Amino acid sequence: MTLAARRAVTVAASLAAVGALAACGTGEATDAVENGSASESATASPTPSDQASESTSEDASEGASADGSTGGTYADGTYSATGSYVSPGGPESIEVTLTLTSDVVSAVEVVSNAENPNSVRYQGEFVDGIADVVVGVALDDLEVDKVAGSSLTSGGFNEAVETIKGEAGA
Amino acid sequence: MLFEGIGTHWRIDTPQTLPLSVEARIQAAVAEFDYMWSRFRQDSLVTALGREGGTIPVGHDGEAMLRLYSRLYTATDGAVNPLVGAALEHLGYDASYRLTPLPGAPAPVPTWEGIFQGTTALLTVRRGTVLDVGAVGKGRLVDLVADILVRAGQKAFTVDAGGDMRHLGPGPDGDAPLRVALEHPFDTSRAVGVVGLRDAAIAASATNRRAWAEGLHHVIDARTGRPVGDVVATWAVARTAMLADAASTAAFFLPPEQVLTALDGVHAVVVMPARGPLRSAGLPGPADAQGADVRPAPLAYGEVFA
Repeated sequence: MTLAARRAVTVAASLAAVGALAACGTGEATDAVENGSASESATASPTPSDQASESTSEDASEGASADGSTGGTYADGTYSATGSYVSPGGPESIEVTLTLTSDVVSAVEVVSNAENPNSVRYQGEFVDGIADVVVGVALDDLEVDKVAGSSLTSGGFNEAVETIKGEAGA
Repeated sequence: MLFEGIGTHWRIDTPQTLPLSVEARIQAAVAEFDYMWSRFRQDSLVTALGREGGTIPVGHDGEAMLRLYSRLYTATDGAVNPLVGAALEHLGYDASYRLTPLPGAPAPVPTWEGIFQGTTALLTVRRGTVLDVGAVGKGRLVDLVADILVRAGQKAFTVDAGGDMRHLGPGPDGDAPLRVALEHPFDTSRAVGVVGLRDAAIAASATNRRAWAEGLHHVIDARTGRPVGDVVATWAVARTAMLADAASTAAFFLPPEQVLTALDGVHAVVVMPARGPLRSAGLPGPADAQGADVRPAPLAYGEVFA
């Protein structure tokens, strides 16, 4: 599978993960991936975890590689997936649609199906922001020595946040 | 050299393993800094000062940091102010990591004017004041560690404090600069840009890190006492790590070009707004302007993927 194709699926999986985290939900997720124009379909089950995104990649790869005649690993077309999770207010879902052109993501659309008022608010902010968010380039594709970011923040703060998420999801 | 300090992971890369005496000096400097400036320690100087109130001499570090805060305060029209500590505590970011806001609005952040006497390096605060040097503190400590390395005769190193770093000397591949990815704030496996770093520092700030609830994070507008919402992440390249740290905070409140104007020694600023493409100023950076980055690479110096 090409990097671009894997990137597309990874974006979908991480969107589901962000949606679930934003609503403090737990990680039960069920997704369906459909390849619109190429009439191929596959199912995947991303959850907000690394293992899940791996299984997503594999499943989606099977669905798309059956029609690998466009030069890339993925056929051009529109792929959508629905992620569901359990928020404190009950089950909610969020739908992510990606448009692939020559193995590059050319559009991202996110639709919230939330009914719970809290989830509507969280997902609403997420949905509003996502189309404008810069997609960036996978670090695997870049030859770099270092990464400048804040993700290595450690210590009690992160532990406390995890505790709160755990309590909110319980 | 790998260690934990002031709540983050540190990594110091040098061509040869550091002598134990230098490692010990670094550990001592980090511990001392935490003991002076951490509002998360009951036994720190700033905690004691806030508890008692009064006037103290702040030492070299304090003078450097608080002078810079005075510049930031003026440049951002009061948005950046080290007296936001009480507002952060009110919102839940306190020493116990309560992470739950108290009811009601926080008390207004006191004005910074007249608090720090730059000529005498004396700091005067009232009882109950919570000083938070978060906008420059980590950068200052990176610079202190870099100074220890220079004094110990180290000619090439990278001091990386959880993604804020300072570099000296040639890069890992000889004359080429250190290539540093700008980490995507929402996906740590991706980058929104890459810069070449040599004999300079870079700092990053993002509101989704050190965030504990929707809309609650550590970058506070002192004029409102509330977290900022228009910008989600910033990066800055500067002569020193403290300047880069300060510029990455200022970039939440000022356009990138104005950050360069307001703070001497800042080379480049990149901003990711909540909506719209990346904005940047100062790229391509000084290394490129001098023709220093001649390495054939897929990405030019200081590219952002907007």
